[in-house]
Amino acid sequence: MSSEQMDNKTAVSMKRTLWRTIALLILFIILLINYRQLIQGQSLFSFIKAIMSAKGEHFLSTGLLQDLVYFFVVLLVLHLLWAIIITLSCKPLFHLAVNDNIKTQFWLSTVLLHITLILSANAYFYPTSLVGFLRATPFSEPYFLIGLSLLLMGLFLLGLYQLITKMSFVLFCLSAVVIVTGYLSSEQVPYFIATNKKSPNVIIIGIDALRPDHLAYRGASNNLAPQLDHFLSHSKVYDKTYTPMGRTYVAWMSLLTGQYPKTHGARFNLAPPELVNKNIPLVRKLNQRGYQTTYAMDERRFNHIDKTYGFNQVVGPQAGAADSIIATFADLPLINLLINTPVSKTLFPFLYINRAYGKTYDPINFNRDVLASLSMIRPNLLAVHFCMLHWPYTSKDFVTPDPALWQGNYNHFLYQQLIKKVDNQFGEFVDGLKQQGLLDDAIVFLISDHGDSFKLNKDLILNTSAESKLPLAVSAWGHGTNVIDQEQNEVVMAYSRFKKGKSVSEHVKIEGTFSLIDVMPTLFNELELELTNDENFDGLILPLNNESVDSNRMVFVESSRPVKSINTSFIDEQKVLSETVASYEVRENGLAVMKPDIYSSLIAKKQRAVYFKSWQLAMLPNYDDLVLVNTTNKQWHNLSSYQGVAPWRKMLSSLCDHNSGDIGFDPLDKCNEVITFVGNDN
Amino acid sequence: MVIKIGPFFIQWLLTIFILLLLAVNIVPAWYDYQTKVAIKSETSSESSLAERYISRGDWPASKDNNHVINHYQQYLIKTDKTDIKTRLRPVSE
Repeated sequence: MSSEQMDNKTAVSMKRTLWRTIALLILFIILLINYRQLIQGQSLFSFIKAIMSAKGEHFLSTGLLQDLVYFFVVLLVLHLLWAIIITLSCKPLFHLAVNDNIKTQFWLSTVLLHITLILSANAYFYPTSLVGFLRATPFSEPYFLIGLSLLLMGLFLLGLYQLITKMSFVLFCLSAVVIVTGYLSSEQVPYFIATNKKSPNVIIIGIDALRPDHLAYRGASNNLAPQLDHFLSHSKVYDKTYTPMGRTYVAWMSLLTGQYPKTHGARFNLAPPELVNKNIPLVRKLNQRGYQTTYAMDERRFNHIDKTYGFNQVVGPQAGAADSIIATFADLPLINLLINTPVSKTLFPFLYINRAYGKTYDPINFNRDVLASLSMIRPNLLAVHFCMLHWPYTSKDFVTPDPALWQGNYNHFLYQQLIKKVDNQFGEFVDGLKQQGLLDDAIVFLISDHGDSFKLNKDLILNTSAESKLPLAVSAWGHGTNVIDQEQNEVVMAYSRFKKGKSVSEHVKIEGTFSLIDVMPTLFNELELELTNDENFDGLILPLNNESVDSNRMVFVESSRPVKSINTSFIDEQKVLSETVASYEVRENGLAVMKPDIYSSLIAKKQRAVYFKSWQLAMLPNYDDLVLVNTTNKQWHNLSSYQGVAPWRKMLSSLCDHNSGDIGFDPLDKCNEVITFVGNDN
Repeated sequence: MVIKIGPFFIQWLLTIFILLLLAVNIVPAWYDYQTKVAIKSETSSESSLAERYISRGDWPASKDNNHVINHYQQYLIKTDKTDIKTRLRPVSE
């Protein structure tokens, strides 16, 4: 056989090899998906079925379909490229054998070696992946991974060398070296050089669901969060701060606007944007002052704050309804391995630095992206939110379980473990800010958007009288689900002024009644900004010491929509979908939002409460009496039978004023009763 | 270079190699499946930390730490009986 005939034969064989490889890789994906389903016990299809069960036409928007098609096309293209690499790797082996059987065996061996490498690497980097079953074997050890990678890379380069001219091969190798070197050298840390000395950086760091009682300043002794504790020990800490509503989007909107939800219009997560006032005065004013304004968040499933709210840039995964579907499907080795690489931002925008896809989420990567996005020559306004503490409490590296902490409460156990992780992330982020000089002159707020309830015994509100037999829910799982559950409403809020990388604020724990809506008026005051005539804040300027605390301050909170399927220790996503999906629609831009007509009707179902000193007065739409809670001794009372000294008349009057005119407020006409009492308060 | 000597021997070697590669992947996958079956409880809400974590779509172990799987009975979840007692009455539509 002449060499020309041999080349022709090889060429035909390579084409066939490519098709066979593609077919085998598709089979590989199908097998993995089925295996995953076998392990998890839930399938993507049942998830989609749950969505489509309730008027699926509301979900078939162009935006959503585009997002899904893009994801699946990328997935196919990546596997096609992988098939090409495998095929090329077979080329030098085919030259070793003229026997077709041996060629087929060489091909099959190469495919299996590639699959083993990808599965091993997936198990090594992402051991919590359901297809990371090689995690506890020698095949996920670095020496195996490096050895096999070198072998397969050598085969690929040899195949490439045989395919193209020498010059092209040299160019290919040089390009690869330049790209890798460029990527590695981009790790140099830039340093902030302020061009406007009168404009400090403004940094608001939010930590999702962080409960004050798990931190040292409130007496926690288990040292779960040393870095947060250290920061708070050099800050002014506002004890008894409440979130206007225990949901991330609403809480952040309240913080950024300095207004209660009733004023700015965002009453639920995924609120219809046309019903929300997106004007954020601070962002607008600082944009005018030459600031770079950035909103960063590592989970955007329920929080759609973006450039339309005035920010110059947004860091984080892409927001959209496709997020949930893609995250349910995505656990495949090739996707996982690419997620924390720079190309992932383009290839998998819904998965990149997305905490909701916990098994690959790398907090350090998110930090790096946020820090890299900040301006080094302009002052920055940065609002950043870390979601590690949010349900479902999954993470890239599984927690190091401490049996001593296990008390049978799944959510609380993992929550405690993840506090350590978010504490690390916070510490690393603050270090990054310092290294880049961004804390040389900065105002820093540390907040949490809401608390979280785990129905711990120590959190229970009690009633020692016969009233306790009434069907009143005094606690609930999660956040935003019950205003009487104090752990859902209480949040962390601290202020610190940084000069030359160090806090210059005197540490003081300021005791009073505060709200997240106080952050904006405080910033306006410190930055000497002024609102325009048609704007106002509901919040107050935060005091700098205990002597300046307004002791007559009332603070309002409200609940989110009642959802039975999330008020449980075990949240079944399909049940949640079945219960809630009919309330949402997907817009043309691919974003899921609440249907406007349902949005209004759900406002009527809100629980509302007012805090005053150590008291809370709550009005619940499903309870015939008003509920008075003593937050100090954790006792609740029916107001109708209450005989104590609590200033409930004043509180009820305030609650009625604040909620006056709101949809469905006061169905039992309790506010009319207050007229009788006003002027006769205790 | 063309291999001309002992093609059957090469084929046998390659066949063994392929079977070995298949075993390398299938055996650990089967082991994980068996583990999942072993820790499965009657109801998903009254299970162990490991089982519930898996039902969320993640495997509860790191490379070096399979503690909550190997000792899953040390991590049994207590039923939340207060769910029933404190359930809210439904709000009328």
